Amino acid sequence: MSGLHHPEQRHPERRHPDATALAEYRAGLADGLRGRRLAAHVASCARCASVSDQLAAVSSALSSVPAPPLPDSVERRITAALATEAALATEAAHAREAGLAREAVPAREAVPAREAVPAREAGLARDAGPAIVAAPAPSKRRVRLPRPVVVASAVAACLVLFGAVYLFGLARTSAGPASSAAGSSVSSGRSVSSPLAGVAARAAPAGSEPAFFVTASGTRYQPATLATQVRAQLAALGTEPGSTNSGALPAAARPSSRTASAAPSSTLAGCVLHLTNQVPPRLVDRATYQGKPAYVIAVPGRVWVVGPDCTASNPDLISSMGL
Amino acid sequence: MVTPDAPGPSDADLLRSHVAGDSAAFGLLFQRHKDRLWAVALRTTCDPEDAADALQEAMISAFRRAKDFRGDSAVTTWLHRIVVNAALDRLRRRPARSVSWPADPDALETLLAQDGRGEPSPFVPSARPDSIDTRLDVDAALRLLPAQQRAALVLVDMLGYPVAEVAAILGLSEGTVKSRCARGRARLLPYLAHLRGDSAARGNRPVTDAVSPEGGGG
Repeated sequence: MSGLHHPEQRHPERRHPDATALAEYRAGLADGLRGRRLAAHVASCARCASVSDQLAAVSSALSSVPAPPLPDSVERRITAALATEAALATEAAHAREAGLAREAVPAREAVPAREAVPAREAGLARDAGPAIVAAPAPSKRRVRLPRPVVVASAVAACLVLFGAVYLFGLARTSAGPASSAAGSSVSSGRSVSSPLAGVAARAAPAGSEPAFFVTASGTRYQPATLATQVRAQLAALGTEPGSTNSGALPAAARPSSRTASAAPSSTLAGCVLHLTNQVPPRLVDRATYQGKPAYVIAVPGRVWVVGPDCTASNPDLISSMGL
Repeated sequence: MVTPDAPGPSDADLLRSHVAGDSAAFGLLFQRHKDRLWAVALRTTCDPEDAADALQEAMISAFRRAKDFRGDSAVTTWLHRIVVNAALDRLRRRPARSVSWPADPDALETLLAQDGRGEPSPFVPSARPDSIDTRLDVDAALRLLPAQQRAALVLVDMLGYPVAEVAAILGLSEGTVKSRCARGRARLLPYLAHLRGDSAARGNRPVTDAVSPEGGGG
């Protein structure tokens, strides 16, 4: 320190380090010459020593504020959400073991499994991301799938394509903005595997249902409770992800007896399948969001809220969140 | 990082049980750490609703990603990381729809300054060293910080995590954590220096002096 007698000792108002420099010095971030100069300055300058003390007081003030406990309401909400997750995971596991073997039998003849799996996986992975795909969809078990699961995945892939082909039909008749989205999905589907397109086409006359139905639950969705409300709707519709026991189409494709439901307009269908990347949604609910009319759309892992005028080319997206 | 007062299975045990299909294990893990994780979410977002959403998203995400946990950090570190990321993610998405966030941090600074407490001198102390005021001041001041800086400072100074652990949580070097904390402290200096924590008033500046600025020289 004796070698560092600087002019600022005689003129302390000059060259005072600023608070950030002092804070960095205190945090041990100033080394070498800069550190020695700061040390010398603080030792000899009452004002900067005081600022240094005040920096300690800032940390002290921050640490003095007690951490609030988790409010009961939030805890209940999260505990319920985790319980739902646990139930879905259990359900999915059971479905994998029991339900899939049953469905696999007819599928084995019709579907080229090896090609179908990538199609399904690509469709989901593009949209859902790796974080959200864990429990529900049996087809996401990428590693060493037991054979029945592979075949069931093929069924699912086939159904996705079927939905897209059906939509394509809708879009062609309306020539609306939906046609671009649906059309592109069909072409991408073909590029993945043309035999699948053939299977889907053959399936089309048999199943005359649209890709999904629109419910009108009247739910008043709010940002803070969106995820919970969507889960409640999914539960009411009985659309447990991974549950394949009630038939071929994804759950949202089946009308529910408990909620009014209707086939979507081709414009809405284009909007929805554009958002979901052609994955048939589990839920499309005509409702309100923050008091304004909106559609709430859910696939495994994600929810979108769109305005009533949503189209494929202009989704009118109000909100979107992971589920 | 096993909570010392928690009997029974370790965090890692619980996570393994969860991955193995024990439907209650993850709930126990959440119960064990909920308050700390809530504090992290709340202090990082500065908004109870966002904090609740962030915490819920984080717990669902952790629930689903548990099988990807490699064990190269403590379970709590991993949980904290997911919560902090969810909170920061929420903040990034918030400006489009938020009303609760102060639109203009300068306005808040002005407000605080008008309160006679913009003065960085410790010799113009608060006349109300009471804990509610402290909490309100801290709440308001934290909002002035950029989110990344706040996340670091909250973990280190408010919640008392070691710098090394905060670095692991945030995926940063320790130097970067220290730097963010230092900048955050400097930024908060004008607003919080007068508070000095609970009873951590320095010996050479007794509280009795502090309550009476005019009599300071007496």
